[in-house]
Amino acid sequence: MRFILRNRLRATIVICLLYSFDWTPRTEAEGIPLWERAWFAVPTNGYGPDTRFSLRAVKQEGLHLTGECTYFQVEKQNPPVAVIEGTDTGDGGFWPDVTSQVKDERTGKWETIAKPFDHGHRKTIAIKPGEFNQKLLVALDIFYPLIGKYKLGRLVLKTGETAVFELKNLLE
Amino acid sequence: VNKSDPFGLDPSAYQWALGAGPIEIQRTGNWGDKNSKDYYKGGLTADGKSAEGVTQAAITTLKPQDNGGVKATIFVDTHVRPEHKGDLVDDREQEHPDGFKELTNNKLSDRVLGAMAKDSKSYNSLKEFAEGRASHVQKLFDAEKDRQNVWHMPGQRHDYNNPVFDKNPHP
Repeated sequence: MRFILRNRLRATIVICLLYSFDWTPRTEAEGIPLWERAWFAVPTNGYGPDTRFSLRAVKQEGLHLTGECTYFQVEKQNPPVAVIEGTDTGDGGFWPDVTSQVKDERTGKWETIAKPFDHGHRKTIAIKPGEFNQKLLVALDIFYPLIGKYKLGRLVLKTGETAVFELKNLLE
Repeated sequence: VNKSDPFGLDPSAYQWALGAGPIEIQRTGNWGDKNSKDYYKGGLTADGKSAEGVTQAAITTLKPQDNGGVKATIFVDTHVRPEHKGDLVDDREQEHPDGFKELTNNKLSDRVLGAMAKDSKSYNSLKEFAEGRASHVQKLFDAEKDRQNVWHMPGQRHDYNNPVFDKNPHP
């Protein structure tokens, strides 16, 4: 818990510092992030149940880092339909409940830095076999102060699936 | 909506489109150039796991210009393991830069106008028109990104478990 609070404090301090330097977005046009990055990989082990949840794009809007995750439901799973809990922000965005973690390379253990929190109205989505959703939004601000200190981060759904990513991908 | 010009643009957009500056995209990264340094690269990883090929695509500094034009930088960088030189993994990885080349070719300005013709927005100044164009460049980038992302699902074009891939590539 102390670790979570410390990292929330770090994230808050970074945001306050950015404001205190009168940092303003480079563009104010509607719907344009400051930058956006996507990555497409061909994993050696292919795509299957172990990789059904993954972070595939990151964008910075104003001071916030937002990730886009993909979830696909493979055939012949138990349960056959994936059910994901989260919140609906009302503008078409669905934010699954995720626990944010970073990996301690020394011990190999994952440390929790943030628990799920509500952004808006509760909602549940269902993904049937053979279907996918590539617009699952996640807040990544909490990872920002940890870039350079940790190599890997991950997002954990309540159902246990994890999306592992390299923290360096959160930089422009 | 009363759309009076051949493109079907709103009259306000048509007015500004006639004198607007160009959409200029600066390309960075290797854009799939097989002769570039490290295009073929061993030890590729993604998300902490071994990968056969990796492409990154990014859009930065997207900004409307005072003359109604738009400037942006698009980064596309592709790498493939050396053992896949010339095989299907290599060919499929090329589809990523090819898609972004198609997006940013000399038809981009026309495509943006086409997208603007489909929305019902009015533009009261050249500045607003440029912002509208920039917004549609972002949307077109997002659409291309989403289209390519679908290839990376089970059994799809870029799934290495797909039987079309020969997992014992030629030496």
